[in-house]
Amino acid sequence: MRRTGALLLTLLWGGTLSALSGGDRVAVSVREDELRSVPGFLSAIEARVAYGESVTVLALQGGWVRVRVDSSGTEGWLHETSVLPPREMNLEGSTRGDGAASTREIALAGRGFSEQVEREYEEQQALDFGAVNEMEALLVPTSVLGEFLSAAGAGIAGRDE
Amino acid sequence: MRPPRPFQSTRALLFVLVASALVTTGCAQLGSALGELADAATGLGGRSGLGDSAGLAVQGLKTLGDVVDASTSPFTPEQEYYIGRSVAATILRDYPVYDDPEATAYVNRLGQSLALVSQRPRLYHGYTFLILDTDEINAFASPGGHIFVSRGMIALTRSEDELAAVLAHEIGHVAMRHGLGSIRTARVIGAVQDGMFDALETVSDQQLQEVTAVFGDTTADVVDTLATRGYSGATERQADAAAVDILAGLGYDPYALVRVLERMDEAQRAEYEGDRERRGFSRTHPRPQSRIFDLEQTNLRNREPGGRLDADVTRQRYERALGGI
Repeated sequence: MRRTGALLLTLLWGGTLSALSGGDRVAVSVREDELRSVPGFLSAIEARVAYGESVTVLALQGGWVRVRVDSSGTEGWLHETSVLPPREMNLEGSTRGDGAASTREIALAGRGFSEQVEREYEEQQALDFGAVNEMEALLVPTSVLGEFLSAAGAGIAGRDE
Repeated sequence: MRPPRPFQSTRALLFVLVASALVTTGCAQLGSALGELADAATGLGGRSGLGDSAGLAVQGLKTLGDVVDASTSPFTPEQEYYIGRSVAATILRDYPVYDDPEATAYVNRLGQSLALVSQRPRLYHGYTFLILDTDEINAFASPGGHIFVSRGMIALTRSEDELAAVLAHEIGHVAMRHGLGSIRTARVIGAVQDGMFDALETVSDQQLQEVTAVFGDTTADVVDTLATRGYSGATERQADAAAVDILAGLGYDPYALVRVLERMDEAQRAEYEGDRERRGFSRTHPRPQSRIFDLEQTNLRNREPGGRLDADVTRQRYERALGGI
């Protein structure tokens, strides 16, 4: 019983997203991402979005969310793990009329603040974040992953060429 | 449903308020009082076989994941990322990197492809992978998506399917936020429970010091879990189940995980049976045999063995990239 409860909590903790529905206003929760033409990581890129940008949910399909970027009106698909309700990014109540958080607000919500802490921690602990930056530069473009997968006959949804 | 709250710099300032409220005693170091607590817990918990699954409950220690209404992380995606960066920096301080660009590129292509079919394909930064230059059989994942796999672990695998199984298990830990969920530092947990997340719009020098101290505690706690204490057995089984889903999702043989676990058990039999000091995976993970048993009762029960990928292609690129290991 206890184990089941703990498991449930852990599953909730690891859950990707509370339920979304059409009309919801959410924020991009990753540093940057691409709006796709159809649901899938290998479909054509319509536009790019960045952390904190406000988008409105238009439709849901199999773990993907069709959104409209509030500032530009551009539409496209994002994976549901790329968006969060603004309150979960400390942007609650801090968005402007157009739904976009100000730079200062986003900085307060995490980035600038965390960078400052990291610099302080780096000095105290003699850590080398340059090595971490090099590791993070190993990010592979999704198109290359698509080639890697298709070479072995693996398919994931969303290729629309 | 949570009621709407007024503007708060809530989670961003978690660290400040915790520190302010509970009076920090200075910047935590690895191996500090926190480590002593963890050591005591390890001693109580025992680390062999199925008994491990009782894990945290037996020890009577709560984790953040146990006590928070965790429909969402109490950290923002950026804070997860920054904690992850510090965890990664700590691992990179303690282990040398295996410097082979072709092997590293291959592991990244494979690992990042696997992440696309995980339950959390998108992270603040994304998933990246490095090979650690050690014979130790081990793998770690930071909450920010930095995943490390040792040369010793790679040497234990014999195919792309099997390496994929190892990477998919680590991706599972990241996707389910196991690192942050395992935090046991009382002052962080207390702050979350008490909802001490009031607004604070500017950060003074003193507050920066306090925040940094708690940030250090958080990092140390996660590193301690990854490198020394290990997750609970139940948590490891969740990552195994996630790995099976990921493997099957891309067409890899889900039973590749079982093959790797069998080989780990064989390679570390003396460590699991107490004849030799535990290092790496054998120290932080339940005995592979019990994990295989669980998988066969659960997530592998209705799955057929075998993959659907082109075996010639996967073998050739695996051998070309990793033949030197």
